[in-house]
Amino acid sequence: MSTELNALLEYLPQKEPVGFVKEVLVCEEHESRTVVRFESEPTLAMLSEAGAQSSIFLRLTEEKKAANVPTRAMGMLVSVKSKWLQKSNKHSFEVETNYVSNLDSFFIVSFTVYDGNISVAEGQVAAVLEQNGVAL
Amino acid sequence: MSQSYLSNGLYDVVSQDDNEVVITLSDANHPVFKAHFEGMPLLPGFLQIDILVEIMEKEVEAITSAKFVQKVLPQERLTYRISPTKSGVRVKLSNEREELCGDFKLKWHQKI
Repeated sequence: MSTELNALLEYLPQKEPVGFVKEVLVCEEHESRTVVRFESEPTLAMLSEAGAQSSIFLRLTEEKKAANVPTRAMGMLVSVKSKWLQKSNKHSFEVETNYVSNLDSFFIVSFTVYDGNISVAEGQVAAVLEQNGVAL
Repeated sequence: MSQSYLSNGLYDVVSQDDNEVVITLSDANHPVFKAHFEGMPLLPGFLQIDILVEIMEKEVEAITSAKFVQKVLPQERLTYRISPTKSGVRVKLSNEREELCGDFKLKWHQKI
């Protein structure tokens, strides 16, 4: 993991034991890829949360920072839909997120959870960016 | 019912049947509330689902839709109302003021 990408983990507002993202592998405008870890076999809801947390790293590009998008904004989860594709008993996965759309501070992101090369779960999350309890 | 490493001590079951589950949440000193978020404790959306799943001893195959419409705070008394649908269940989660906090459509099966 590069030092630069590692530093981005500071911006994850969820801390242990709820912060599931442990490494940031890709952090681009419309795509991120992370490593997530759990202390036990995760539920689908936990993987969906991991997808939401991974989506934070879509926004942390230099382009977004230059546009003054607050890097410490919290994404309040509004909705989720997801499904298992193949059940896995692993505790560590890679999560790929892709930007779908946004309207101001309301974002929709899709995610896929990988166990190695096998996609085990997928879904979509919608979140509103907030700072100090106020939608941005 | 066994609690997960995240939900251990997070809630107490007040009452439970096939159609309705009532719980009370722990105070803000629980590690989950300290972590989500620092200085602004909220029950994470995924745990709103997983607490019920744990109590009912189910496994979720798909979250057909989950809408989180109201922040859930420490020490709240929450009621899950469960009704069957063609493909699973619909769950409405409300707080003690009868405000809707979450609306979930799930496909689940009994945990083996």
